[in-house]
Amino acid sequence: MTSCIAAAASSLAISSPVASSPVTSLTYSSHMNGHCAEALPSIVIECFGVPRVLAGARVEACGGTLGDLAGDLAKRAPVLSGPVLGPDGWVLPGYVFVVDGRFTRDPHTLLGPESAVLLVASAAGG
Amino acid sequence: VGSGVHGVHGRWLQILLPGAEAEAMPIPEATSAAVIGGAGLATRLLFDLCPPGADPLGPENPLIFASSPFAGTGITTASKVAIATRSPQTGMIGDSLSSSWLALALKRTGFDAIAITGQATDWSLMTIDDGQVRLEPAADLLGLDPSATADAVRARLGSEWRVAAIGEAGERGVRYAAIANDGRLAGRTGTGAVMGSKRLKAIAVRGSSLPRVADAAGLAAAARDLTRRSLGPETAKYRELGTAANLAFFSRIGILPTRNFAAGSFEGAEAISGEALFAGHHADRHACAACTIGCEHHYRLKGAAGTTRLEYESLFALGSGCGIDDPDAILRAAMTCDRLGMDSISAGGTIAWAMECRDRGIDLTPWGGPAPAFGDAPAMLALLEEIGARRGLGDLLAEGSRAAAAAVGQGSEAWAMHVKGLELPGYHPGRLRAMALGLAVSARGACHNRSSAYEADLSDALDPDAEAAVIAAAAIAAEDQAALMDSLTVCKFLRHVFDDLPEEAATLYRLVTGHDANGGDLRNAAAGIVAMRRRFNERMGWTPAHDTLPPRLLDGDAAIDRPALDRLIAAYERQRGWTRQAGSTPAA
Repeated sequence: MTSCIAAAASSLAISSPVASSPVTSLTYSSHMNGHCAEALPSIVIECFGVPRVLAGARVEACGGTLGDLAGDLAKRAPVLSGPVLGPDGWVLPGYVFVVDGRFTRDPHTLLGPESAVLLVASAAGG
Repeated sequence: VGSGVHGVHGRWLQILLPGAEAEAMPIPEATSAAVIGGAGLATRLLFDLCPPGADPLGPENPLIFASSPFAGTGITTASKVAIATRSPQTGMIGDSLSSSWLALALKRTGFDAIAITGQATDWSLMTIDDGQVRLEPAADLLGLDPSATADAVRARLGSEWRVAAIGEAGERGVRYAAIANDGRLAGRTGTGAVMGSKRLKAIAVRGSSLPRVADAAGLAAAARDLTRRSLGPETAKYRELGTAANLAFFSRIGILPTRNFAAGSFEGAEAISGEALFAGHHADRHACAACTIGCEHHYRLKGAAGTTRLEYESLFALGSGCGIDDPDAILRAAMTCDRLGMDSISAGGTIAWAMECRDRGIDLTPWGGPAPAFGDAPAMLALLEEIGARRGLGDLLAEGSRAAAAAVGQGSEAWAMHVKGLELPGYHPGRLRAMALGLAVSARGACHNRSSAYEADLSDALDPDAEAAVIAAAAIAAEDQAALMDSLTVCKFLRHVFDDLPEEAATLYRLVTGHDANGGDLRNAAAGIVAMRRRFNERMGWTPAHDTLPPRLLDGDAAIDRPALDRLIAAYERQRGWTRQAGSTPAA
């Protein structure tokens, strides 16, 4: 079995998940040097589990809907593509967003600047 | 095989102590189909064999080990054994599952289950060799931890033997002692104390008889497909980080039990999170026999040789639950529980009760105290040793939080965090309505494995503000799903791999047994197993008052108050077709 974390770790320093983890700050020209296009909210996605180990505790991305946000996340944290995000930029079946306390896999979920967005495995068993 | 059914032997082995007389007993084909196997079969045998009022630690209480049609077939994760007995911790049904090689050896004995009643005269090792049962002296094994016991037994008998063993906690009757095998524990409800009461330090199993399956080629193809799917993103959490990945997220959303469930978030969560453990302590990963997920992650301890496994439930119970944010101390505590052979959830939960006693000014010195303060890791570690040895305050805490609170009184029952005597698992139910209901009505007591309704709460499938009937339906579905998986003995970490668990399981079941069963049949069987557990409990003294939650979760500013819980329970019973009255549960 190939571990996605082990595979990613060979090219990515695994971040230590502490509360003061800096926001992953990657810049891409297609995203206006890391800034969001006008009218698109910039949202810090809090990552947990595999997404956190791969991309850090918090990743900033842009999107007016959850689908747009996930698509932008794939570009800003490409290490998530494959293990967490599919080729279409949407989360794989094993993952779910929590938006303002509600679990959702609806890409049409509307977001605002104050939206609290978490990304986590959908399996909650322990 | 006593019938035309494949995948099972069609018989169980009754063993009577102290003489170890063994007799093969038939399992009629209809019974086999009705109870499926595993937890269902173990429950049925317990129902038939355990007399009302049986002392859980007395000779009449049976200790049952049951296999399933899927065990030994190549179906991933199905190498599990179900254990059932009357719990010395709850007085109700005690059942617990454990994975790995023991289950395969049990399946090869030529029996679908073994049931042991009576008590040995002296501490003994029981050997079951293709159905031939013997007792050997085991005084030399006393005091050994379960792993060392298994090593000693296999050194004596041969490496082809597989061993179930108890540790010091089981020898001394700690009411939440576990039975261990292959580094795993059947952890909950005190099965190890029952085994100890029979003076069985270990049970060694060897066999050579596997039943044929109905459609070997079809099963091989279906099993390969399931294996492929088991390696997908639905199980990545378990494979990559293990269950410890729950902790930081649970704290973030306010459902991480903290300081004896006084809070749902822990300020030390980041330090003990699964992600931090992965970064700072991770050693390697292990899988049970015949499992392709491989969820068991082992961690290094600073200043100590070797590694230890750590699951989320141990992490919460010995960590945030006790206010401890030192990962090394928690790893050491989990290792201690495994070494002593006891349930880390109940151990941590009972210590958290004692810590709160101290917080509230209740002096436990008359019971061997004083209790440690929340966050005092060295004292917690020392107390675990005292529990295993039943020494000092540990002797009181070895009884569990319900009994300890009853002994101490002074209002301490209010913060004994249990249901039916079983300490709560690591899901603070204050904000999880389906889970709150599931915990309250679960026949085994507060258990996340028999009522995994948290999966509904923590998903987009259930509106948290839904009416009681919707919440009840979710809790019932989760309870029945757990009963089905525990009876087929497939791991619950597979549940997201299935699109339609009953139907897909029925396909596998047909290929293994040749039974023309569909998903509806399996759903009905699972509901029947849940009803049988309740009927067993009724026989053991269950009343509606047992179906509740600790006062802390219902009073004050709790999200679910007592009337709301009552409404949920009423909806649950209505949908089950039960009435809230002891002795009224119909046979399914």
